[in-house]
Order: sequence, then C-alpha cells, then structure tokens
Amino acid sequence: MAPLLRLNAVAFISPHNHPILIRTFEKGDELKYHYVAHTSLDVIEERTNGQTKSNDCYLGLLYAMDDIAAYGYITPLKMKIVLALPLTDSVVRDAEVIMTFRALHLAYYHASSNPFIRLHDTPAGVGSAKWKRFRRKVDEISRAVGGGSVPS
Amino acid sequence: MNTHAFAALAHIPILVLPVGPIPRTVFEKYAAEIRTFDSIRLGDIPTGMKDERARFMPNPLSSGYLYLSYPSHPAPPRHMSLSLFRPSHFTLGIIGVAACSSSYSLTSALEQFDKTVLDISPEGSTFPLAKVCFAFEDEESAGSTGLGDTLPGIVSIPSVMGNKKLYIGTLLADLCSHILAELGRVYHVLESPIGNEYLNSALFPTLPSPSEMPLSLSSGNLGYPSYSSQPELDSSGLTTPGIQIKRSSTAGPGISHTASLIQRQSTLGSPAVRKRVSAVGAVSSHGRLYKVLGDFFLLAGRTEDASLWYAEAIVLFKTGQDPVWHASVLEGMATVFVLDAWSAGQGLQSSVSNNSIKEPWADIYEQLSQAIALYHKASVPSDLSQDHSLLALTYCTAVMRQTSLLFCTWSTKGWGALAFASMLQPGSTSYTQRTTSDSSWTNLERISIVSGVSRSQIANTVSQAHGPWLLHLGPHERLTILQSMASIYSSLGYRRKEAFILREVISCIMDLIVCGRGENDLLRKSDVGSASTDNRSENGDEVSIVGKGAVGVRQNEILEGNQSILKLLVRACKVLGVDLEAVGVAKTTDGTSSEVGGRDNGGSAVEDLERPVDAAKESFGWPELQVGVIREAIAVAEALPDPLAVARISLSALRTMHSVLASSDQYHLYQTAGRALAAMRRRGDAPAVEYWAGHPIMSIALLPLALHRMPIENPFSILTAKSSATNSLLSGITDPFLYNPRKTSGSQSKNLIVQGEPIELTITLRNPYVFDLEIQSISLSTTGVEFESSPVSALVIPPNTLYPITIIGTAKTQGTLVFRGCIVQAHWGAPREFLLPVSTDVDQNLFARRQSAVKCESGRTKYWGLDSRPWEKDERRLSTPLPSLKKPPQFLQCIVVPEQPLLRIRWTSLTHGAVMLYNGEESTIRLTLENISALPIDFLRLSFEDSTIGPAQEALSEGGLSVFETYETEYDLLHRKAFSWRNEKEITNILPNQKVVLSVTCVGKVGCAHGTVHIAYSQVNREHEEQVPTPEVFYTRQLSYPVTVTVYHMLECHDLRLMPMVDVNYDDIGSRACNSVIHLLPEVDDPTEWCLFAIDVRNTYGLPFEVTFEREQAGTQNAAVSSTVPPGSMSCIMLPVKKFRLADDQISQPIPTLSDRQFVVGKSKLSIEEEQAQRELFWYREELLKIVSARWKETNGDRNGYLSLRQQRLTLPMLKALRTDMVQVDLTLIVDTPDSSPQELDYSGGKYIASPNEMLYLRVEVANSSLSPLAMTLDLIFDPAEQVLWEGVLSNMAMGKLKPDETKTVEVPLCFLCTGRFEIGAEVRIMGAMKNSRAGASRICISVREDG
Repeated sequence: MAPLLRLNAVAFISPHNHPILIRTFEKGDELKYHYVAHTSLDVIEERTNGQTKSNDCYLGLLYAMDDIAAYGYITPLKMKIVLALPLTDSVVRDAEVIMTFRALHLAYYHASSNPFIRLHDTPAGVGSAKWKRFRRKVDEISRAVGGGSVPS
Repeated sequence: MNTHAFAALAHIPILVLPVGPIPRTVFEKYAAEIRTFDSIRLGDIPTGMKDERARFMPNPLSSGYLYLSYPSHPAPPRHMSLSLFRPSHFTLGIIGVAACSSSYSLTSALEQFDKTVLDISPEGSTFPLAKVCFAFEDEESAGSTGLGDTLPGIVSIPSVMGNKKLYIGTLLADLCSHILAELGRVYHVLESPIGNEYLNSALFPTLPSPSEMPLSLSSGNLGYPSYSSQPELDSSGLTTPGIQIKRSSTAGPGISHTASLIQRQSTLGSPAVRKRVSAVGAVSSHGRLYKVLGDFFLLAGRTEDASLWYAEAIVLFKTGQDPVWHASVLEGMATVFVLDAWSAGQGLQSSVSNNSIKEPWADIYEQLSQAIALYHKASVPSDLSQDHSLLALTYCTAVMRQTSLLFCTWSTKGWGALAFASMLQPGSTSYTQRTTSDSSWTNLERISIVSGVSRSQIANTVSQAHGPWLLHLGPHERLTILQSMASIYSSLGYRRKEAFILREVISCIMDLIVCGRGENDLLRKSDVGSASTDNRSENGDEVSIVGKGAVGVRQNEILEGNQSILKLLVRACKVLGVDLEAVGVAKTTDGTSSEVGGRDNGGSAVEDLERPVDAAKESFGWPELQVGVIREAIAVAEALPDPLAVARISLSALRTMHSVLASSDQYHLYQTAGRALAAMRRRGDAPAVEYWAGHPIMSIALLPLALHRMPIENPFSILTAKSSATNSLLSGITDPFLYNPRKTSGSQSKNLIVQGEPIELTITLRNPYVFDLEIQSISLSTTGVEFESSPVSALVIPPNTLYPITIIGTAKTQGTLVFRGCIVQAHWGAPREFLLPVSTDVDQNLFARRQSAVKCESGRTKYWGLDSRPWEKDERRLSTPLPSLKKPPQFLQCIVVPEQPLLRIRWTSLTHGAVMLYNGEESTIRLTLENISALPIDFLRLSFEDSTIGPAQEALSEGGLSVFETYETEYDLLHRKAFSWRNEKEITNILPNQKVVLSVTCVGKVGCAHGTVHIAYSQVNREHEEQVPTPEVFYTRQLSYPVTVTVYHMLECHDLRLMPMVDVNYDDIGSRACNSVIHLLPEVDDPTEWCLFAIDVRNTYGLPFEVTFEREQAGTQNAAVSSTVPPGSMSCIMLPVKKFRLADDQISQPIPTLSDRQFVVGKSKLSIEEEQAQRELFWYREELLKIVSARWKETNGDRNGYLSLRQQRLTLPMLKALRTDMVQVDLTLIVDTPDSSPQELDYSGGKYIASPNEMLYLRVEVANSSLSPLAMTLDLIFDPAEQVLWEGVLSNMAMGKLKPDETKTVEVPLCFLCTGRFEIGAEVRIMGAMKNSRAGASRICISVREDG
C-alpha cells in the first residue's frame, strides 16, 4: 500500500478566478493557502493559454514553493481546483492525484446541482451556509485520501 | 538583475568612489564614463610582471577579455569569509574620482581617498587588490592644480585632454593588470602548504592577515610602493599591533588555529568534522586550491586554463567530501562554458545554430542543477549563523544564476549571441526590457515558443530560491534576491507571484526601516556609503529605487522613498484587485469654488452616469486576500509613517470593498483614516483626500411651495378671452381629444419658484457603511441665476440608512435656476461635487439598457484573470457596444418668476369653513381678502370646485351615458353650480394692505360635501419693468378657501304622473288631494284639452315644509298649488296642465349637448323609431319643466329654495296625456226625440245614461288639428260588442282626406240590447302609417239603465 496522500488545502476557483471554496486542513495558516491558490492561477493561465491545448483536465504539478506543492485541475467549464500537498520526499503518483481531483470535481458537481445555490454570487458564495454539504464532502474526501486533520 | 548576472563569477568588480568635495552631477558624469568600459581586451593589459605575479597575466596576443562590473557598494563585512571561496563577490579594485581644483589639491585628494578606502574595507580583508584615484581637473582651474606633480596612487586627468576615454581605458587596463598581479600573489600564498591548510580549514576559509602568516612575506613583496595597493594590509598590521602581538605571543598561529578548530568541532556536521580532523597536520586535498586557481583564471579571462583547473578540482571533489566547493566548481564551469560560447559567437550576429537535438544550454542547466542540489544538501555547522547565512547566499545566488541562464535565453528569444551578451553584461543591453515590456499573453507565449524555454520552467527554477533560508540572509541580500525574483516573475507575466513576492519585499524594507530607526546611529556608521554610493542607476527597476530610498528616508525627510514603497504597495495590491488609489488626493485646497470650476463637466458627469452601471459590476478578487493585503498596506503606511497614505488606503478600501469587509474592519478602517487625517491636520498639512464614500446623494427634490405661494403660469390670452369657463367645467379637461400623445410629454411641469422667497430642497443622503458617516458640509451646486443658500454642516448619517436633509435657499433674481447637484465634503476631506441628473424616461431606458448590457457581459469569460479587474475591464470593448448617452444630462430646473403679491383671507362669514344648506337652498359666503404684500394686485379671478363636479365629469368623460343622461349631467354642471360669483362691484384692483370683500353664492346640491373657492390673483401690469419682448405668460397666485358643505336632503319628488283630464275622477281628486287643487279644477273647461300633473312629494326631514308648484303656461293664467308636507309623510301635488303640442321640427331635433365635446359613435343601438320617441319624450319633458316649477319653504322659518323636478322621467303614456292629439275625435251619443229633433243623450258623471233597446246614433266627429292634410281611417270598438246592435262596418271606415282644421262627421246608429255598462271607443289612424300608430282616439262610457 502506497503512502497516502496528505492534503494541506483544496481550493475551488470559479471560471472568473473568484474563490469558491478554500478548505485548509492545516490549522492556523489559512491565508497562506489562499496565496498558494491565488499564485497558482499564474501557472494555470499559462498552461491553459498555451498553444498546445490539451483536453486533459489534469494540469499536473503547477509549482513548488517552500514546502508546498500545488497541483492543478481545470474542468471543462474552466472551474479550477488547486490542491496543495506537502512537499515530501515520497513519490506522489499522478494517478492518485487525478483520482483525488476527480472526486473533488464530482463533489463540486453535486453541490452545484443544488438549484438553490447561487454559484456566481461572490464573495458571499465562499463558505456560506449553502455550501455546508459541499464543505463536508470535501472534508470527507480529504479524510479518505489520507487524512489531514479536518478543521472543525 | 544586475547583482545576479549569470557571468558574475567572471566579473572583476570595481568600485567607483567619489573623493573629496565633488558635486554629484560631476561625479555621475565621470563615473558613467568609467562604467562604459565593461570589458577590456586581454591584449591591452600591460604585462610587465615577473615572478608569481605574472601567473594570471594574459599571454601575449591572447584574444580573450576581462569583464568588469561596477557594483554600487562593496560587499558587507560579514561576507568576508567568502573571500577565497568567491573572490568575484568582492570589489577587487577601487577607483576614486576626485575633482581637483585650486582649492583642492591632489595630495589632499589622495589622503581623502586613502581614508575612504580604509573606511570601507573590512579589517583584515584581502580586498581590494588594487586601487587608484582619478583626479579630474576642473575646467576653470586648468593648469593650476599642479598637473605635473605625480603622486603615487593618483592619476590626474587634465581637463584639456582630448580623448579622455582612451586614457581612462588605458588606466583601467593598468588597474586590471595590478589586480591580476595581486591575484597571482594571493595564489602564491595559498599555494604554500600552510596556505593550503588555511584554505581547507573551514567551510568558508579566510586568509589570515599577513602578520599571522608563518611564511614571512616581506612588506616589500607585499606592497607596491608605486601604487600602494595593499595599504590596508599594512595599516591593519600597524594600527592593531597590540592584538596581533597578543595573539601571536600567547598561542602562536598554529595553536590558535587549532583552538579555533576545536571550538568549531563541536558544531560542525559529521563530514566537516571528519575532514577537519584529517586536515590538521595532514596534507589536505588540493581540490580547493585548484578551484581557487580556476576562479582566478576565470577572472583573468583565461577560460582554457580555468576549465582545466576546474576539471582537476572536480576530480578531487568527486569523493563528495566538500559539496559546497564542488558546487562552486560546477558554477564556475558553467560560466566558462558560456564565456567560451560568447567568444565563439562574438562578432557574428547570427545566433548559434541550435539544430542539435538537445538544447545547447541543457548541459549548463544540468551542471547548475547539480550545483544547486549540492548547495541544498550541504550541511552547515548549525549554530554558526554566519556560515548559514553565507551558504544560503551561495545557494540563492546559484539559483539566480540558473534562473538567469533560462531567463536570458528566454528573453532574447533563444540561445545566441544576444543571450550571451545579456548573461555577461545584463546592464549593457536593454533588449530584455524591450522584449518583455509587452506583457501580453501572445507575446509571452511567442517568446516561449521561439526560445524553447517555457515560462513555468523559469518560474520553477526561480521559486527554488524562495524558502525559509531567506531568513538567514542579511536584509540587503534578502532584498536583492526577492527583488530579482519579483522582477523575473513580472517579466514572465506571473503577476500574482510577483505580488506575492513584492509583499515580502515590502516587509523586508519595512524591517530595514524599523531597524534603522531603532539603531539610527549604529546603522549610519555601518551603512557604508549610503550617502556616497547610492547610485545604482543602471537598473530602472523601482525596487532598487525603493531600497535606496528606504535607507535615505530616516535621515532626511525625503518623500521619494516613502512614495516608492507606496507605489510598490499599490502595484502589489492591484494584482489582488484592490485599488489603493481609489480615493484621490485633492489637488487644490483653496476652496470649493476652484474645485468646482476646475472640474470638467464631462468628467464628473461620466462618473455620475456610471453609477448605475457600477452597481451591476461584479466584485473582483479574493476577499480574504484583499482584506489581508489591506491590513498589511495600512501597517506599512503607518510604519512609514505616511498619514496621507494611511487615510487613502483605508478610505479606498472602504470605498471599494465595503461589501466584503466585516463590520469590525469597517469601523477599524474608518477610525484609522480619521486618526491619520487628524494627525495630518495637527501637523498643519493642508492636502486632504477627495470625498470617498461613494455617491452619497440619492436624490434632490424641490419641496413644493405652499399652495397659496405657488405661482401658476397663465398665457396672456386668458386676459382677453373671457368666457371659456363653461367648456372647461363641462369637459373637465380642456383637451378636445380623448387621447393626446403630446399631453404626456408636456406634463412634466416646470418648477416655478418666486424671486426673493425662500424655497426648500430635500436631499436624500445614503450611508452604506456600518458606522456613523460624518459629513462636514453639504451645499448645493447651482447654475443659472444667483441662488443663496446656507450649507448644512456637521452632519452624521446613521449607518446603513437613507437620510434626508433640508436646505433652504432663496433665488435672488428672476430667470432659470439649475440644481446640478451637491458639493459634499467629508470630514477632513476636500469638497467634491456630485451631479444628480434628472432622468427622463428615455434616459432611464438607456440606463436600463446599459445596465443590462453590462450585466450580460458580467457573466461571460471574455476577459478573465487579471484582465477582468474592474479598472482594466472598463477600458475594454464589450462584446456589444454600450448604447451611448447622446444627450447631456438634464438637471433639476426651476424657473424663478418675478416677485408676486401675496393675498390672504382675513375673515370669512363662515364658522369653521362649514356651510349647512337644505337641498336647493341658496346662501352667500363673504370672504374678506387682504393684500399683505408690497405689490398691488390688478388681476383677480375666482373659480370654484365642488365635490359633485368630479364624479359628473368622470361620468361624462367615460362616455357610457346615454344621450339623455349626458344632457342631464351637463345641465346639472352648467346651470346648477354649487358655487358662483357675480362680480357686481367689478373688483380687480387691490392695493397693498387693502381689504376687499367678495360674496360667493352657494347653492345646496345633494351630493356636495365640500367645495373650494379659488382666488387667482396677480400683478399683471408692471410699469416699472419694461421688457422689450412682451412676455407671453404671466404668473398668478392662487388662494384657495375650502368650504365644507352639508346639504340636507329633505324633500323627495316621486312618481310623476300625467293623466288625461278625461279620465280623472273628480271625486277622487277631492278626497285624495289635500291641497288647493280643487279650486283650480273649474279652470278646466274642456277635459280633453287638459291633463292633470300629479307628483308625490315626500318629506324625509324632521321639519315640515311647504311646497309650492307653479304653472306658467302660455294661454292660461298662472296658477300655483301649495301644500305643507309634514315630516315623514308624503303629499300628492296635483296641478292641471293644459295639453300642448310641439312642432314636428322641434321634436325631430336631436338631444342637444351643452358642451362641444368630441363624440364617439353612439353606443346605443336604437332604431330610428325608438330614437324618435326618445327625442319626443325629451322635448316634451323640457317643455313641461319650463311650465311647472317647484319651490319649498320652511314652515316655521324663512328658508326657502327650489325643488328640482329634473329627476322625474316622462313615460310614453304620460306623453300621450300631455300631448294634444294630431286628430281630435269627438264621440257623441244622440237620441232621436219624439219631436224628431235629435239631441244629445244625458251626460252626467262622465258617462252617458241610456236605456236599453233604444235607437241611438253615435256621432263621431273627426277634426284634423295638425298642420298638414291627413288621410285617415276610423275604427270603432264596442264593448261588450255582443249586446250592441249597430249598422254598417265598424273598422277601417274611410274618412277621406281632411285638410287642416277640417272636420268630418260619421254617424253610426246603434242600439244597446241590455242594461249595463258599455264603452265605446274610436280610433283614427293615418293611412299608410304603421298599424299601431293611432293619430287620435276617444272613448265614452255609457251606463244603460232601465229607468234611463
């Protein structure tokens, strides 16, 4: 059994680059992961604007900074998911990351099917009560994948 | 970038210093001249040295170059340990620039120069290796400075010298030669075994001072007397003899060294320890020595030798015992590679072909990666922060070197000559800036494709430098590293990363500033050359400006530094979507007037127009980050301290982000801004911030004037045309059209205000924030005629509310007054005008369209990422162009009319304005008016209004009434007005302070509950104002007096009946009619000529009334019937009325209308006959109402009035009774008497008395009473017919044609067969007319009795 992935943070970013949900599984450093997600947009923009437009949603490792490795995923509707993993020596297999992304995407997909959610209503959309189930789902995924401590 | 040039390892850094009193500009000029030499050909280097100093001298005729760089300041003293590890990090040579004049001699310049060099060189340093002072001669003092004197260490350059540049080049070559010689000498020391031991002694070893060197180096060997290039070595030995002696005497070099080793042992990592142990006493590996040799050869421009020795060193380092030095060798090799490529490609402009499969730079990249990995893994003595710091520095430098490799390749579009040039001399080529200045995606992508280096590759490389180890660096190094990272990210188009790094840059600067404040004196001493050498002007990057400015700010209040930091903040914040400059600084402070005058109309108008669009705009950015960055920015600005910036930042944040800010944050920001502004004011700073709190004005409304003060515009024509009142009253609306499209457009009435009289305006203000918004003052902004108003000051708007305020003002002259908006001034802020256009429907339409266009756009992702920031988005084209606003905005406009007289009602005859009337009663209201103004009134007109008019007009305008009802309603409106005024005394003029009395007649009318008397008055003729164009309008004022009317409905008329007199039973009348009709009956001579008018009058009131009906009929005497109707009872009034007949042409007239309203096609679908009948009824009724009129009178009082009969309807039978028949039929029964003279039968009690079985004759006389000849037939009806015998036919007896007034008689013999009651009827029909239409009829009753 391969070592489980540990997620530090998950960020869902709207097609307009607004944050939808940024879930941090590390205590006390929420703003840092906001910055991680925000700066990773630079790389995502480069990848998606490049001349080689692949149909692959998975963008791979975006960048590594300090002790964080950011992985990106873009849905066909240009919603972006950024995963912050701790930078360790253990090998991170793409397949696992992709699997995690798929699960997160599905969670978002289910959440956005809720007709009462105003998807593009930023900034109220972030962390509003309507997203409670979505948040719980994301936490579940994080726990299932390898489990950082889930913030209360 | 300058400090992290790729080929920095091959650069000989030379410091250029000002010496003595030299103006900055002069120094800059000479320094720039020196700096143009970025490389010197090896062939130009003078080689005259022998012995070990010749080792690094170029071979004759060699083709390489020496590369020079000119750092702005020397390496800090704590980097001393790197002196052998990385000699290129230090300033190897120093050039002093002095301006010599008559007052400043060469000697003093030299003295000063030596002192400065001593100051800046750290104690015991090997460097600088050589120094020289250039004394430039002043223009004016040419020749007087003793040019001929040749002092050692100073070269004077006379101003008359023609080709200074060439000379400077030679001098530089000379200096380089000395540097090379010195390198040789240093190497000579290291070469010795003890030198090698020193070299291997520590991670970053230093060469001990010469006195400690066991190998005695004679001072003659060391120093160069002619240039004294090592004075600091000598002087250090001289000035600190005590220390030196003490050390050498107590322990001796070897022992002290060991001691230091032992001391270090405990702290070293394991490999170092092992090496150290083996190093003591034993012969160390020569790896480091070879590496140093390679470094020196690299500096000397001899790349072949360098690579040779590097290769040697690599072999020795393969064991992995010395990773740091190993990595350094790899770096050096990479540099050599590029230098070789540069010299190979030098001269040919075409780039080196890169058709090989592998990218040409891949090897270098690999080497550098390896070096970085080695640096990263290298272990350091944990508690030696010095080594930590240096290792981190080397690591970061290596990363920057690798980045630089990629970045130069990328920015110069590939591996080629340009790339080499930019790697070697980044300052010399502006190509990089030019390529990357266009930071559009296409350009960046194009560069990536052309160069074969992807941007993320560069970014990944550079991000290696970012890590916790940055904390180990000294503040200055950290700053430069971060700054380089930021500028690379910026060039790559990674704006967000740039912002992320910039934040750290700022915090780094702030650290410096705060530290600098704390230890001001200490820093000033250690901060070498901050005053003299802050001339890093090659790189225009703002970051470097900031670094410089930040240092300067604490000593003297130069604002540039602060401004640059703020600029940096703004740049970083903009990426996050926060506009820190949303609130501008007020430009002028000298008052409101200039502000308003200076502001272009269009500018603020546009802003106003954007307001609704603004609302639809979506928010941008990440609220958490934005809030965080705002907090940081405020902290920075507060630390600077820059109160203006603090205020601007907090207010901008409030303005742009108040929707996402928590309420506590809003409070905090508001208080912060208030504090900052107060601090500014305390200091006496005038400039204030612009008004910031969004668009505070929701609306401006002119409060309508009090009704009696409001002027009304009238055309002058109404003075001449007198009687148009009836029409207006009837139709209610003067418009003859039911639908008038022009009416709506004209309905926007003009606001009229009177000159010199105060008006009130309500301004609604809005506070969208959660705190009390203080507003210092609000005043109105008007154009047009002069308007005087007092501004409202010191206003506090409660949170989250709309807040109305009232402003009172007075227009001074007549004309047009436009309220453009308001001038609002926040606390400590500058006043600002806000326009408030009044939008018409068209405008609103347009706004709505614009808004929806923007809304539609907001959901799209045409511009995304940073392009969708609000201020960038505005400049871009939308997918559909916004409908433009063609018209200039309209503002609230008023017409100021000339002064008007004012009238008031002084006294009325009514108490409480109430009048009580019986229905139909007439009363008089007296009003006493007083002119209380100074102007005379020469126009007075009264109009009235009551509560019955409205419903009637409504019913009329609806058009649902029949013609008859319409007539009734109109009649009611026109002839029975509740109020009327007969201007008997012709009152028109009222002088100032004069009183007049008006009498208004009031008639009680059921349904009238209240009414109003309108008195319109004006001063029309103004002699003193002779206006050349006679105005078309004049203004009146109107005084209204409301009257509450109570009308008691006490008498009701019911059941109008008209009976033919023939049918009337006289006895009945006598019994039923309780009035005086009896005595009128004798009047009735011929019952067929008369009919009886009967009506029931009911008294529903509590008092008895006497009712009088009068008859005024032509051909009869006037008659009156009166009766007292007790309360609650009903009386029947009877009055004989003579039958009459109206002429046909009168009857056939349509029912008239009293107004000239436009008629729609009648809704009623009456046939011609029905319509004819209706008309007949109408006209006969009209005639009847003319004949009969009714009055009432209080039985116990003298109140009286009219009783209206107009509610009564005439029915067809009544009409028949009233109308004289066309043909008169007269029936007479005649009996043959025995004397054979026929005589009429007995007639009594309205019937004939006959005997049965008696022969009788019925004589029918038919007379044509119409005006035309008629052909008619006669029908006779007997009832019961069985008991009657007659002769001949009874029906359709032809009468023939009868002329007018002709009479024809028909006799029918008959006999009644039994006793009883019989009736005989006769009907005359007109031939050819319809079957039912009888023209005349008659009837008799016969009582057949045995005894008759």
